Amino acid sequence: MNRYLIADDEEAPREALRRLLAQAWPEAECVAACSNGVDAWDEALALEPGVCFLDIRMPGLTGLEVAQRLSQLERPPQIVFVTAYNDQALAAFEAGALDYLVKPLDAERLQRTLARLQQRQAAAAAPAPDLQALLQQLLPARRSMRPIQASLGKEVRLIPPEEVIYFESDARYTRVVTAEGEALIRTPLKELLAQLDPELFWQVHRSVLVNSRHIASALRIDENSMQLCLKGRDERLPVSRQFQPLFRGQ
Amino acid sequence: MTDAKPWYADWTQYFCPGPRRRFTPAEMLRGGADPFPVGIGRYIGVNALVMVVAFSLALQRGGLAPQLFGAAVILLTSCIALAFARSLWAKPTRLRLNLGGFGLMLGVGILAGIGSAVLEKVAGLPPRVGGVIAGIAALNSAMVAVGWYFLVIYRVQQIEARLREREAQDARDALQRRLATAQIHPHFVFNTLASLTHWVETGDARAAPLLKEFNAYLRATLPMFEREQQSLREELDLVRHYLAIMQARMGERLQWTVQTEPGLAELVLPPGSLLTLVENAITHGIEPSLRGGRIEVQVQREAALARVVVADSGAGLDCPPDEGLGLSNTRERLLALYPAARLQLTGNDQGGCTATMEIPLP
Repeated sequence: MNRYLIADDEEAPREALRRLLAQAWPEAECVAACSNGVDAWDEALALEPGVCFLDIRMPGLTGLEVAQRLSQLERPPQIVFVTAYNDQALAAFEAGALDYLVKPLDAERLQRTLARLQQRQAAAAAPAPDLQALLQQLLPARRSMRPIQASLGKEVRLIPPEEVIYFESDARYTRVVTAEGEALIRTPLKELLAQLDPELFWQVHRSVLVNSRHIASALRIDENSMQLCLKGRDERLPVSRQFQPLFRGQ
Repeated sequence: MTDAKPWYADWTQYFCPGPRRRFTPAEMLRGGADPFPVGIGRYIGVNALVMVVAFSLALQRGGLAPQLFGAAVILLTSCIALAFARSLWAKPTRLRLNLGGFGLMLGVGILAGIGSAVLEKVAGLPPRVGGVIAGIAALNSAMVAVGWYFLVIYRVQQIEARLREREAQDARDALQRRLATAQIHPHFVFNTLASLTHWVETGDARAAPLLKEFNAYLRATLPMFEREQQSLREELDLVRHYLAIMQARMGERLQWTVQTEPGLAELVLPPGSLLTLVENAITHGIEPSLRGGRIEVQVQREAALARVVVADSGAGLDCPPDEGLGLSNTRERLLALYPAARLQLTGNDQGGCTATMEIPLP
């Protein structure tokens, strides 16, 4: 559990956090230092750190959005927010017993945060149960969705996002699958997901984003693997272990 | 306030009592919006009824004619009292109060005297009854006049209080508007300090220049709170310090240019107005963008117009976004300075926003 991720869009505060954590928590390992929310989310999926230190204001996804997505995973990491000044959010964190650090960082305050983290880990406690509700309340309304622009030779096709059945990353491209056919776009999946409505497009795998209206059923193959069947289509999409809690039935 | 004056200072009060203050129509519009209290009408109505009954009982022996006469005098006086009270509410002046008050007492006295004399002749009342009727009528009208007096005093004080409230509110609003635009955002300060702290602790060479810019920024921003206007030159200096600080913090994610035209340096602007536009470009354009972007500040002269443009290559989010408090406040303050000025926010084709401020030159 002693692996952590840090994310801040500015270099100096990111390095400051990395340096202070290296001093205060030498037995732990910094697995990733990200400069935006999109990378933070993607790296957290790939590396599964035990703790994420997230700046709140970040491009792509904000720290709050990353935390909200992380909290839905099968084994959500502990979240510590890092912010320069945000009284409204801080008051909410106090209420939700979430931990936060204020920039410029203070070594003593960081020590206390680490002690609290270790206590919580020893108790094997999940993050505060009302984290979801709390973050929902702090998150701004979703931005409107722009059409996806896919180039096919000399033509640029505009695809309204709601018509997409699923997105899949494919080496350097992202495959956009619609009822009419497929297109390849250059925008990485992790950047796309920051622009799409999370209520409509569910991430079910690090490399798959599926339109929830087109999901027919989720099929459990064995203890670890699960697959999605789509309406009127033959292919099946993998659901990675982390996202399986999305389909637990009611 | 008035207690220091000698008793004869305002001698007119002995002959013509009432408040001295007269309100202009504009003041009445601002402070005189309260409606006439309905309670006063009810109170006078109930009193008139009680008095009619009491009067009838007292004059039982005189027959029907004096009873009817008494009731008519009471009802007429009450109606006049109420109508004039409403009129005083709309225009509470000392002159009208005194003309009305003395006029009423004189009129009712004469009317009651003549009426009771006639009744003595026609209905053969005993001589004392006519006198009593006249006396009661005069007393009644004097009470009404005293009522008017207190009503006018109350009304004048009410309007004065409302005017004071409005003034205080206006001052608060103006201060609020000024603070909203000419403010130092705590987020900016603490993030800058976070970078500074790190670079000082690690002996990074970027610390000293950043500290210098931050110092210059603070020195230029703090006096803005006390000023109503400042020159374009000062405003551009402030913007340069701000952008240099953001540049140090964001590194390659931010590029910026400031281009200005000679001859416009002394153009007067609301303090912090240009800075607000640049701050918006950073917060809504560059910071949310994954790849950062570019900010271009341009000052151009065009015929009888100065145009200040802040363009960012921004986040590609919806633009123009709903205008924040900062922008509408900046526009209000700009219009207060130049009624013919314009400030608008438009979306660029390649994403990002452009804020344009147009100021007519003399």
